[in-house]
Amino acid sequence: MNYKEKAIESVKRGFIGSLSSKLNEKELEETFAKILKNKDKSLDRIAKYMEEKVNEGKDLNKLMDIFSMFGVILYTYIDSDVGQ
Amino acid sequence: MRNGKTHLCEIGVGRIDVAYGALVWHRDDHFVSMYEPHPIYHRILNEAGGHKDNVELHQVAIGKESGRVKLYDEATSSFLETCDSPYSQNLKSKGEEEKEPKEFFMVDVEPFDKFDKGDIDHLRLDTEGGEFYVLEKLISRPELIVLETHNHIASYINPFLYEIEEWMVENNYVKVSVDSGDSIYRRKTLTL
Repeated sequence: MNYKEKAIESVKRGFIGSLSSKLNEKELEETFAKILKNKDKSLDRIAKYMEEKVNEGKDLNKLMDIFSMFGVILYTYIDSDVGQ
Repeated sequence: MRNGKTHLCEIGVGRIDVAYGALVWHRDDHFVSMYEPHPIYHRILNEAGGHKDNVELHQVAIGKESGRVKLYDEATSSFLETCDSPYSQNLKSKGEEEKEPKEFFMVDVEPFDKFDKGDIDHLRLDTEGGEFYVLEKLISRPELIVLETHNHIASYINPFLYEIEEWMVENNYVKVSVDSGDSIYRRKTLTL
C-alpha cells in the first residue's frame, strides 16, 4: 500500500471540495501542485499516521475522509513554513 | 445548563489570557467550570475568578484513570507523561531526540465522569493529546465541542484523531469548522 498516494488523494479531495467554487480547473491544478511541492513533509506525516492506524486495524476510507480537512488547511498555509 | 445558566466547561485551560471561560465569567447568564493542573496557571485563574459564584475551578488533570502523574512544564504546551503530546510529536518531526524537560510537577489525574453532571453546554478541550480521555467518559452531550486535533503543518496530529472522529459520528456530532489547530463539532439537532 502506498500511503503517500492515499494521503495526497485524501487531501486533494478536501481541497477540491472546498475550493472548486472559487478557483477554475487550471487554478485548482496549479495550486494543488504547489501544495504538493511546499507541503511534502506534511503529506509524509499524514501518510505515516494513516499507515500506523491501518496497522492498528482502522479503516483506511475513514482515515481518508478525516484527513481531507487538510485540503483547506494546507491551502491556507501554502506559503508559510514551506518545507517543514 | 447549570442553575439556568449556559455551562461552559474548559479542560486544559492554560494561561488566563487564552481562557475561554475568563471571557464570559463576568456574565450572569454563564456558569464556567475549569480544569487546570498546572499550579501557576491554576493560581492565576483562582486569584482572578475563583471567588465568583458562577465559577468552579479544579486543579486536576483529566485522564483515563485516577492517579498521580508527571506534568512536564512546557508553559502552555505542558503535558502529562501519559500523552503523546504536540511537544513530543514536534520534536520527533524535526528529527530531534526527545529529551525529558527539566521541570515537572506531580499532579492529580481523575477520569471526567467523576465531575460531569450531564449539564455542559459548551466544551473546550486542550489537554495536549489527552482529549479523547475526556470524550470517552463524557456524560454530557454539549451543543458545541472545541478540541485540538492538529497543527497547520501536520507536525502534530492528535494521537486519537481517528477515535475522536468516530466518537463524534456515533454521538451525532458534525464538524462545522477547522482552523490551524482546533476542530469545532456541533451536535445535530432533530428537525421535525
